[in-house]
Formats: sequence, C-alpha cells, structure tokens
Amino acid sequence: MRRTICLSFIAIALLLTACSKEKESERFRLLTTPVWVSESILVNGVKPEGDWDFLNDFTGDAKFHKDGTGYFGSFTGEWKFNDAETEIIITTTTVPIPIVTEIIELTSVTLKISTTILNPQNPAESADVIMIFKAR
Amino acid sequence: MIRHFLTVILCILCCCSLASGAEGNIKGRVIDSEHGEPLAGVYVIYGSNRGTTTNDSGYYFIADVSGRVRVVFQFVGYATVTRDVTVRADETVELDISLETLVSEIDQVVVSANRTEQKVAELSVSMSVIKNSFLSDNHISDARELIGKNPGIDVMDGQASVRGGSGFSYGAGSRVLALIDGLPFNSADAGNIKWQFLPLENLSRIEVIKGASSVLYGSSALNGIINFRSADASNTPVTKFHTEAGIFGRPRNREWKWWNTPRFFTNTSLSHLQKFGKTDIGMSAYFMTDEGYRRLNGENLGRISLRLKHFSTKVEGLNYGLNISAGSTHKTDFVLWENARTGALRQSEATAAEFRGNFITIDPFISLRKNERTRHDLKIRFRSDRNRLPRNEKNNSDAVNLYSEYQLWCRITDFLDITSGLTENYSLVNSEFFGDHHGLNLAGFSQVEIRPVNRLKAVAGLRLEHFSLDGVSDRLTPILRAGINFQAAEYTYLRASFGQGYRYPSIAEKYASTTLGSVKIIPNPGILAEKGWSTELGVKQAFLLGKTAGQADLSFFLMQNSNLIEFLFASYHGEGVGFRADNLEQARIYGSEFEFAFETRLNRVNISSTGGYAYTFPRDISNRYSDKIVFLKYRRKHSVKLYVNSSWKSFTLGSGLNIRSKILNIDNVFLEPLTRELFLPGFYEYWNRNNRGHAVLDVSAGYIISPRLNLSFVVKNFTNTEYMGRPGDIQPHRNFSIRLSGNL
Repeated sequence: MRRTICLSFIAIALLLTACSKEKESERFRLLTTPVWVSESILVNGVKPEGDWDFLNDFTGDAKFHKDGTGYFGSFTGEWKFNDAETEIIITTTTVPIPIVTEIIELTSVTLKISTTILNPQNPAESADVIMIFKAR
Repeated sequence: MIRHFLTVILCILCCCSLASGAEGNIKGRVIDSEHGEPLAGVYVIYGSNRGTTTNDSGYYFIADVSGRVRVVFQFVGYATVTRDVTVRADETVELDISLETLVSEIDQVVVSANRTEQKVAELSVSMSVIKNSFLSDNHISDARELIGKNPGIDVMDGQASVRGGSGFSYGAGSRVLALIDGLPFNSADAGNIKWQFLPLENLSRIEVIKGASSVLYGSSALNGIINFRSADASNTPVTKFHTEAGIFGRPRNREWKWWNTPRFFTNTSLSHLQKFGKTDIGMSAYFMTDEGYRRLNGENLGRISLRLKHFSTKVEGLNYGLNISAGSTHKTDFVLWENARTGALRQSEATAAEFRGNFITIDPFISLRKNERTRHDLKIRFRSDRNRLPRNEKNNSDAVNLYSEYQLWCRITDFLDITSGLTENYSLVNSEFFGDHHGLNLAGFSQVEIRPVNRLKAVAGLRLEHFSLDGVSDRLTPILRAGINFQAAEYTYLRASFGQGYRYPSIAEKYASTTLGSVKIIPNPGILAEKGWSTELGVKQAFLLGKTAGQADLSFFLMQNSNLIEFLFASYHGEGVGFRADNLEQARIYGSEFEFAFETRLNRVNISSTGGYAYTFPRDISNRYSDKIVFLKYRRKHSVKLYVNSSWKSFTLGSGLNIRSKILNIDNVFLEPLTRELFLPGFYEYWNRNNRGHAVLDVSAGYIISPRLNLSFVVKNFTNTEYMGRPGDIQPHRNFSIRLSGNL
C-alpha cells in the first residue's frame, strides 16, 4: 500500500511538472496594449481607389484584444499570431477568407503590416497592401 | 595462533574439495514446445540463487551439485518451469525442458517501447498489440484499415491520429511514425506513411505506442509509433496464402450510384517462412486490384518482400541478414467530390490525380549478443521512392533515403540496463513539386532502466537530435522521457510516464508549390518544428474467471503540443490566395482510454473479444485569453471499438462494431459561404445534416474446410451506414467479400 501511494505521488508530481505555465510574449504585449490608429494604407504603392476602395474601411482605430477578437476600422473579427509571431491572421465577417499579414515592424508606437488581397470585383487580380498604424 | 587458524582453514577447503569431487552434474537442452526450436538465454536457477543460462543451441550445464536439487527455468514470454531432480555423486543427470509460450495478453513480449524485449504489462507507456490473426479474421489487407480498428486511433485520409493527436493534414507530414522491424518507413518527401506499401504478409504482430516516443525514435514520433514486426522462421516450414474477391453494394443514397456494372475488388497473397540449417528465409508477395466505389478512384497494387537471416556457427550470438521490400502502385486519388446531391462518389477529371508510384527498401543488419549482458545491433535502410503523375508531370518526385542506426544494450548489473544508440538519416529529394533538397538528421540517445526493488521498474531516457536541410542547420534538440511500472499485485500493473516529442516539417509542408484543380498550394520555408509532450497514468489488470482469461487496461492521459502545422486557406502576402502550411495550433488534449481483450469458452463455443473506448477533449489553446472553447480540427470526443469472434466445430462467426461521435471542428474554408461551394459543392448543407457521428458494423462467417484450408465471408459496413472522413471523403458503403486462405 505504501508503495502504491509513493508511486501515485511520483506520477502526480510528473504530471504537475509537465503542466508549466507559459509566459506572455513581448510581441503579444506590444500588439495588444495600445489602440492603433491607421496612418496610411497603400495598394501597390498608392492610395486605394476604384475596385480597392473597400480597403478604406480599414482606416480608423484598430484594436487587437487579448482574447483574439478585435476591430480593424469598421470591420470586426478575430485575429491570431502564427506560432512564430511573425504574422497576424485576420478573419473578419466582411472579407470571405482569412488575411495573413506579415509583420514588417512592431514597436510600442508603430505597427506596419503587409499582405496580398484579391480584387473582389476580379478575383484573378490581386494587389500588395501595406498598412501603417500608430499607437494612440 | 595464526598457524592454527590457517590449519583449520586449510582443512575446511580440503573438505570442500573432497565433497566437490563427490558431486554430480545436471545438463540438458531447453526448447520451445510449439516449434521445437532451441531457446538461447534461458535463465536456469538452482540451489541458493545460483544460476546459468542456455547457450545459442539451447544447452545448459550445471556442475557440482548433489542430492535433491530444485531447478527453475525462466524466460521472458514463456511459462516458468520448476523441476526437482536427485543427483548422485559422480552422476550427470539429463534434464531436457520444453517451455510453453504464455498465452496471456499481459505476458506478450514486445520490443518497441524500450527497444529491448519486455513484457507488455511491464511497460511504463500504453501499448496496443495487434495480432496477425486479426487481419485474416476481418479480411484486412490494408494497413490503414487495420490501424483504424485499434481503440484510440483514427485514420483520416491516411493521417493516423493517436488519441486525437493529429487531424487531417492534406497528405503532408505525419505525427505518427511507422516502422518495419524498428526501421522508419515514413517517406522522405511528404513525410507521410505510404500505407499501401506496408507489408502485412509474414507479420508476427503490430505494436502501437500511444504517446510521444521521440526519445527512442526521433522526429515524427510526436504522437506515437506503429511498429510492424516480421515473423521469424521456425523449424517447421510455413506457407500461407489467401485469395479474396469482393463487390461493392449499393450506397444508401441511391442517387449517388454512378456505375452500371458492379464494382469489384480482388487481392491475393502468398508467403513462406523456412529455416535452412542456420539460415532463416522469409518471402511474400501481395497483389491487389480495386475498381473503387468512387469514380476515378481505382488502384492496382503489388508488393513483395524477402527476408534472410543467418546465425553464425563461428561466432556465438552473431546473426546477420538482409531484408528487401518493393512495391508498385497505379491509382487515382480521390480529392474532391462533384457535388453532395448526386456526385458524392464522383470526382471530376480536373481534380483526379493519376499516380504511379514505386518503392524499394534494402535493409542489411547485423546483431551480436554476448553473455546475455551485451548486445550490439547495426541496422541500415536504403529506400528509394519514385512518384509519377502522368497528367501533371511537374508534380513528379524522386526521393532517396539512407537510414542507419547502431544500438548497444548492456546489462550493467542485475538491476540496471542501459540502451544507447546513434542514428543517421540522409534524404535526397528531386522534384519540381517540392524543389531539389537534401536533409541530414543525426541523433544520439541513451536510456537507463533500473529495477531498484522487486516489482518496480523505472526508465529514463535522453535524446539529442540535429537536423539540417540543404546545409542549413536547425538547433540541437534535447528531449527527455521517464516512466515507472509497478506490479502492485500478481496480475495488476500500475504505470506512469512522461515523454517529449517533436517533428521537423516535411519537405512537402515547407516547399510544396503547385495547383491541384482550382486549389493553389503555397510553400512556406519558414515553418518551425512541432514540439510537445505527453504524460499518462495507467493500470493493467489481467484476470482469470473460470474459463475466461483476459486483460483490461485503463489509462488517463494528457498531452500538449505547440507549433502544430496546419494548412490554412487564406490570402498571403506576395503569394495570393491558396493553402499554405503554418505553425498555427497549440493543442492540449486530455482524456481516458479503456481497452480489453478476453477469451472464454461457453459449452463448446470458443469466444474471443477485443475492444475499447476512448474519450478525448481536444482543445486548441493558442488563444489563452479567450474563455471560448475552440476544438482542434478533425477530432472526435468519443470512439468505441468492439470485436467478437467465435468458433464452434468447423464454423466461425465474428462481428466488429465501430462507433464514433461527430467531428468537432473543421477548416473554415469548408464553412465560409464564398469558399465552401468553390471546393465542395453542397458540402455545407450535407455537413450540417450528417455530422452526427456514426456506427458501422462488420460481420463475418467462416468454415474450416480442412486443418489447412479456410473459407470465409465478410460483409463490411453491414448496416450500410453513410459516413464521412475528412470533408468530401465518403467512406465505403456496404461491401461483400469471400476469401479462401490456407496454411500449407
């Protein structure tokens, strides 16, 4: 009986050791702390217009909440990092498929991301988009 | 004083010497009672814990004993035999022994868990053992189908998942490592398991470890391993064959039937095992034609194997040999259905991927066992794969793989064993699909097993692994495992274990770049290795109740993995829209599993049954700030598997029941309004209506024509249940097969 108790004790210790808590990463803290204000949106290097006009709806405030929800201009939706925290995957109810954005710069004051977006009027056409945000 | 003392000592020694000269000896040979083979390394214990072991020919010799002597013969996997003999002075008593193998499930000897022979009950990890007879009883000739019938394991479109550790990975990568006689079988390019090439002929058993096993087996063993163990030749030559023919019935949804002539499948196999003096020979061949129940989804397959093993007559304990396997397949993979209403069993020419694949493995090996305390093993595997897609030649690929491992096992003391080894795995891939790449994987491992007190075993192991791809090195990965097993009562074993695992991304996940129909695959060279750990508590209980003997196993497990790779359909920077592999999931899976096996006799009916129930709670914890529970994709919570076989006189009857609960989560691409119709027309409505879990019943009946010939009939999916694996992958409806098998 004593051996059984010892064995159970060791086993539980193994389990508890395995369940270590993870710390919040620096990039996660930088992204989720401020409310970001869009400074510029460039489609292939110029301001969005014509078929790309819908991207202007991303202008305004953006907030990445810690629980994975957020708002991005007039869009609401969900976001997540990839595990390497080099990309932000944004899913909104407005854009039909997730947008994987590459983080070019993330500091306490600046967020610069880029992605490729399909032209909703002509899915054969796509454009490179760069968005710059400043912390409020 | 000193002189007197020395005189007394001298007198005692003289007396002992005289007494010794008046003693006798015991000698004999120990053989296997079933095959008559000599058993080497049997412990022969006599007197007050004195002992010896049998040599390679099974002989032993005990010198200088007299009077009534109790001799105990012990060997792993065999019932212990005790004999009392009376030895007179100057007499040599001959005592030959036949040891009987233990039929009890818990006494089965396995090798996969610790890379050395050990009773399955004494392991610190969960292991399921699938016996060879399960294949013929259930008309199984495909390893994928076989593994999927094991409790706690699901196979979704070729992706094996142990206790919910994996989902559906679009054919790239595997978190479960397949082994043949301990050598890895996952392909070098896609990192997946080519199930159709796994030989099921001449197998002795299949061992499945549930949980991270990377310390002993390296990358890809993140979620577990499946080891296909070949049978050894015995003194009695064994020739087996089977030939089977089958036909698919009508699907439950009559509108799905697209054929006008019946859809047939046939397969046949021949295998032979024989011992020629000191040389064992095994050979097998298997051929299969399956017209398929789905349009543009047939397959023709052939595989052969040759196994040679020679026991040296000059060097005691030395054996060496060569295994060769080869296979060829010509098939059309089913990717996407045409529509849910009438075309679920049809795919269009645009997505049909005709595939011609060949492979060959050449595995030389040498083993040296000395004094039952040391064993050296050197194994090498050369593997070549050739994949051709005639309709899309830019997706062709060739892969060459050279794997080698050296392992040293030492029994340092009676309570301490050490197993250490070095492995090397070089891969070369040439392909327009993946690009040209070469990888090198180097690793060293060591594991200590101690038995500090009676009934307690503890293991601890460490592995260091280095991986480089195209000359670019990844960081050195250290991983650990530890476990204990305690025999709490005669037939009760408690166990606890912890093991780390990892998996380097396959070349396909990193570099695949192509278009399949309307689907674009985008490469991602930056993805990281998956890593994680698993831990469990378990108890194994054997029982003997009247004429019923069996075992039950209950385990509670927890595993956590990070950097899990999944394919996400999205808009990517610089690449456009398509699927790309990325490190997106962090998984925490806990649950419990119950397994049982028993045999009984009711009047004159022999009944055997195996089965189990697995519960998993597979949660994606990548967002730890959200209270919302997000389930991992392509996992289920509940699964029940139950198999019963019975025999009466020359008749056999069997059934298999497989119950699974609904799939908890799938990729958004199949749910979002814009994309779901693009890939799988009608899927969304079908999914909402039918993702409720399923129960599939198989039944079988057989007649033993003669001791060497057997005829059997199986109906798979007897209930004609309509169910789906991954999205768009409708599983086989009711089908009938008849098999003639023999043992010459």
